[in-house]
Amino acid sequence: MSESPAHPQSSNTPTRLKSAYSPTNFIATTLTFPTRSIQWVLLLLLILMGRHCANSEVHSTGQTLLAGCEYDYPPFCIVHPDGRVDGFSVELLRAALKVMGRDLAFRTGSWNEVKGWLESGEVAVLPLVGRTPERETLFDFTVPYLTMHGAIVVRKDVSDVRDLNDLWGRRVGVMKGDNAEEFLRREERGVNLLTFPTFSNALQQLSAGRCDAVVIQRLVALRLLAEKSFTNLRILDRPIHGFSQSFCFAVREGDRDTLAILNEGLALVVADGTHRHLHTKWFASLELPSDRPIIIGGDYNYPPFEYLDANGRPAGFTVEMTRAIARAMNLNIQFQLTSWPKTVDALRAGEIDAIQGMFYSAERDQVFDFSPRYLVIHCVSVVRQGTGPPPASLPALAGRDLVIQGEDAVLEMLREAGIQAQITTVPTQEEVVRAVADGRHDCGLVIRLGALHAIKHYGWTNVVLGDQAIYSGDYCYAVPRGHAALMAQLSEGLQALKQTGEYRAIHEKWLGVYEPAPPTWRTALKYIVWIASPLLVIALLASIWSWNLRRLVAQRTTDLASTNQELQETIKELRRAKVALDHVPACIYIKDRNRRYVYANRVTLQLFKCSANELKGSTDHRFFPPATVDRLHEIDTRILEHGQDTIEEIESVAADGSRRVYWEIKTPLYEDDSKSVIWGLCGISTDITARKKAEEHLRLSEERFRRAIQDSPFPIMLHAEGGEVLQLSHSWCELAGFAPDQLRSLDDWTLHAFNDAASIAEARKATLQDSGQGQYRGDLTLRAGNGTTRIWDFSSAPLGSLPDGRRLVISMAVDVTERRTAEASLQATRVSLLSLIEDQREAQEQVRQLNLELEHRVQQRTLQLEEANRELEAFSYSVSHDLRAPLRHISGYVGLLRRAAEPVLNETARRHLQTIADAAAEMGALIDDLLAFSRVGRSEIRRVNLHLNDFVQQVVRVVERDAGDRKLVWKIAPLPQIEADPELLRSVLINLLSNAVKYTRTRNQAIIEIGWEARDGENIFFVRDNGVGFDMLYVSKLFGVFQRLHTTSEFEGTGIGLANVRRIISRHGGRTWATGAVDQGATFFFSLPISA
Amino acid sequence: MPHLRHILLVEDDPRDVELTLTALAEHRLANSVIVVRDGAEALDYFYCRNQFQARQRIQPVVVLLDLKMPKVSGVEVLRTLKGDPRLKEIPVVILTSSRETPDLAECYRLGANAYVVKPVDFAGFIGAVKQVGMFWAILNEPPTGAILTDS
Repeated sequence: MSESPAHPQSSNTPTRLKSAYSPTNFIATTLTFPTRSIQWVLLLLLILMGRHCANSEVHSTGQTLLAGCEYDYPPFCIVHPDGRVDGFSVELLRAALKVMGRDLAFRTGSWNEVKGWLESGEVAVLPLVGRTPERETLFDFTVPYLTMHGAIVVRKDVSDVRDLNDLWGRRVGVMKGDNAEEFLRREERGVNLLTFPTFSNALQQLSAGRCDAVVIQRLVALRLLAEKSFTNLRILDRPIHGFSQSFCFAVREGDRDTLAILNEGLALVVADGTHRHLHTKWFASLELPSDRPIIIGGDYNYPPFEYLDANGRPAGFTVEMTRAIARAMNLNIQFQLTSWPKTVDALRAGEIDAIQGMFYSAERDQVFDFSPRYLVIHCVSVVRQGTGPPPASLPALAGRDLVIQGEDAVLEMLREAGIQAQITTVPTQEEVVRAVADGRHDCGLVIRLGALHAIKHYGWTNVVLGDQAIYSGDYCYAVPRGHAALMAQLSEGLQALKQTGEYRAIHEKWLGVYEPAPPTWRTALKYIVWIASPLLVIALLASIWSWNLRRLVAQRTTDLASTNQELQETIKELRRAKVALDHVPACIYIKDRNRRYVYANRVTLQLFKCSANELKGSTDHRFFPPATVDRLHEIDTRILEHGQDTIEEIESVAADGSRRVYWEIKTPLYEDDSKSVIWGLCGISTDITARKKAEEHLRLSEERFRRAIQDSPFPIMLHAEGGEVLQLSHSWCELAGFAPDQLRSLDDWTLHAFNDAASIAEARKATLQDSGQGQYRGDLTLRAGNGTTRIWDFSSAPLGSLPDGRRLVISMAVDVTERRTAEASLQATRVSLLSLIEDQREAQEQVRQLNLELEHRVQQRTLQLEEANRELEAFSYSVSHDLRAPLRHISGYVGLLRRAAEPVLNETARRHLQTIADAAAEMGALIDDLLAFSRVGRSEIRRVNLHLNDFVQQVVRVVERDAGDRKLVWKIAPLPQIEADPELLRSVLINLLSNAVKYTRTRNQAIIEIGWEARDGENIFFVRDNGVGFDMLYVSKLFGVFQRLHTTSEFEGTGIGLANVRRIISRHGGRTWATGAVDQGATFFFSLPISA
Repeated sequence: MPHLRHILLVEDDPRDVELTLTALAEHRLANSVIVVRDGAEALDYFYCRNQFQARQRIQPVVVLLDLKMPKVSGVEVLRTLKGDPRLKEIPVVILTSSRETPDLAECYRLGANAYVVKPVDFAGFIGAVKQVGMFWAILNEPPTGAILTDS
């Protein structure tokens, strides 16, 4: 395996290029101390475990592994003209295998060649292979040891290319087979891809204008541009998005043994610092700024670490450390010390390159990269003297008024621990101490050493520095995240200082002042000799003296121990007493003769809202309003001047404005038992506001109750067991007519009101019974003061007990005198009413019985009548038929006889025949009248509305026809409408009018008058004629059946007509009567009820 | 021999028959009067039963009907006549002694064509019968279809 011919060696004058670009993720990762180193430790562990599976042969023998090395990939792989291979990756591979006990040989070739060798197994490992998806199937990769980012290189005159998108349509050069080519081919980017054997070729073509851009690893480009002096090219600042490359050692797919050895070796060289060392060697110079010094930032007032001395020059432990590192690492540095917050901001903004002293914290680690710590610094608290011990832990800071330097890491600690406190930040540590010393803030957090420096410098004596570290921080160098080159330089330098012992010297110089180191041997010996001889003499004397002293001391110690024991006991008791007093739920306090508070228990302090320290020396003015102070002063004077014990109620206004009442017992305090000198007073005070309020409520309630009783509209008496009258309502006295002082006891009352020994005894008994339970006693008649008798309706009830134990009874009464009287009269009325009602009820019952009987009788009678009616009807019918027929036959045959025998009959015979005929006719008329009369009695009345005038006219015409030629004068008044049975009324009118016509026959001129008047609810009609009249003597016979006042020879008639009239009118509910005189005419009246 | 236009007199009292026929004879109406002596006979006549089986099938121009008769009363006869569609058109004049209203109302309800109360006095009676006979047998036009066909 011969090594390939050498390639022209690169110039070894690396150009320092300033770059803000962070090229090495991996390195950054490995160097970020301390968290990420844990990953490497874990990796180590994994590898150690994995070795059980690995082939032990590989490890045990000193086998030589063959590696492939490409020609031109500086600074990773470099082949020198003498054939020696070099470069970061080469050296790393060599170191990794060396720690694993392996030797390494290289075979050199182009990238394509070496890649082919690995695939074919001709070489076992390649030192630098970017891990890409395409290569996963070909190789196995170790963990990446470096991550690089791609960059675009263009000619300086090209200004329109800023990122990958601007390469569209342009000619882009890459090294053939490089992962840049793979990256560009991974997706269509519209570039015209030109491949070259090496990146040097590609850059030459670019420089010559034969392509437009080259895509390349940034580090490689930096190196090549520096080596080949492509002065017309520039690297674009912007990294290519998505094109970052992790570089690993690669072995053949499946070569697990070699892979295991490489991974383990890699882990070891990372852990032992070789990786960092190599990185610094190969890359740092490339990235560090070459055209300016490296700016190191720091605090301008952080003695003894970093500060500006009297001449304004940076000084201090850290400053000197940095100078030493710069010397060791040949760095051109410049300090820029300013206030701490500004310094941190400057680093964040990239205005400075590093901060020389900064605490590591997880939060800062997100923004900065840290070197290994070079110091542990303790942060302590600082307080003023007399304000208690300085807090010794983070939690103890809760709620404090804190002052802290701005951007101090402890702020982050507080945040993380969730400590709530009032925090003020100041620019410097010195200001922190000053703020506490001046009393602006209660507690500061400072670096112990720095604070000691400041305290000493300014001579502050009123501050106390804590000696417990609240927080101990790792003090490191810090650079902006990813500035690995500088970080590597600083870390390397730090390492170097420690190794050379310079670190210790600087530490001694700056920090030994405060923590003196033991003197050296030689110095000590010199001092001893110098002072030994006189000391020996003194020592001898002193030993005798001291023996004596020791004896004394032993004696005193014993005494003291005993005293101490007693004191301890006393203190214990006192503490207990204090605890007890603090827990008494009352204010207990002691004032001196000047009325200044000497002691107060916790309840008092809470009330006063002050601490025990604040209380001491205070007077009442501080806690009470002036009015209260005056009162307290007056009381205190009594105690202090006259030695009186006092018990007082004090009213005061609380802080919230509410009125409070305290019950205070105060007693003088004497110097000794002789009680001659009063030195102060002791007070015990209880808040009785609630009790006072309750009492007031009770008083008001009682007042209301008393007034309610007094003003009650009805008699109420409150009396105690035994008869004492406690209270009387006014109405009691008024109604009973006694003065209140006449009724001092129940006995008085019963005597006055009842005047009866038996009643008194009864009342007493009742009172006692009443004491148990409420009782209703009912009406009692009493004799009022004015001699009248009143009736009171009593009831009583127990009302608890009096304070002296006597039971209390309330008696109430209602004066029911009037009511009872009214009730009595009401009762009497009621009784008489009841009897009336009873009588009426009986009468009603009789009437009802009678009615029933009557009804029964009527029913029977009706039945009889109906029967009679039917018989009568049948009779009438028979009469109608059977009596008329023979009459007609008589009349008929007389007629036939006269017709046949007329000529032969003499006058007498003819007269006889005429008589027979007349008699038969009369008989017929009689029968007709009788039937009509009987029909009126039987038939139903059928009422219709009649125009009486019309009706009368019809009847007049009928009777005029019968009257023949007679001269009749009718005087008919306007008549009303009436309701009547037309058939029957016609019969009435025919009878009356035909009578009038008949009985005026003897008059030359018959005058018949028909009139009417309404009177007393009746229509009264009359028919008056100027006929023969009648004798009023017989008026009663006028309307009787078959009664006649004239002979048939005078005036024909059946004697039924007027009887029929009366019957018809009577059936209409009316009356009939007549007036008249012989030869002076007659007037016939009939009445009909109006609307009947 | 019954005549073409004849009067049927239904009367049980021979004296009334004689008086009635006397009155009718004064207007030469007597020959055209057929007399039956009670209600049953009257119905036999109308339905040509028994003694009237062979009678000429011509109905009278008017029936003078007495009410109070033995066997079948005048009201019964009236009800039968007016209840038979073939006979109801024959005019019926009630000739009665009674003025009692139940009869009067009942007869009109059943369909009587006239109601005449026989006057007691002779002249009145002769006059009344004469007028009835004149009116119904001479003046009045009987309804068509008075000829009775075989039932």
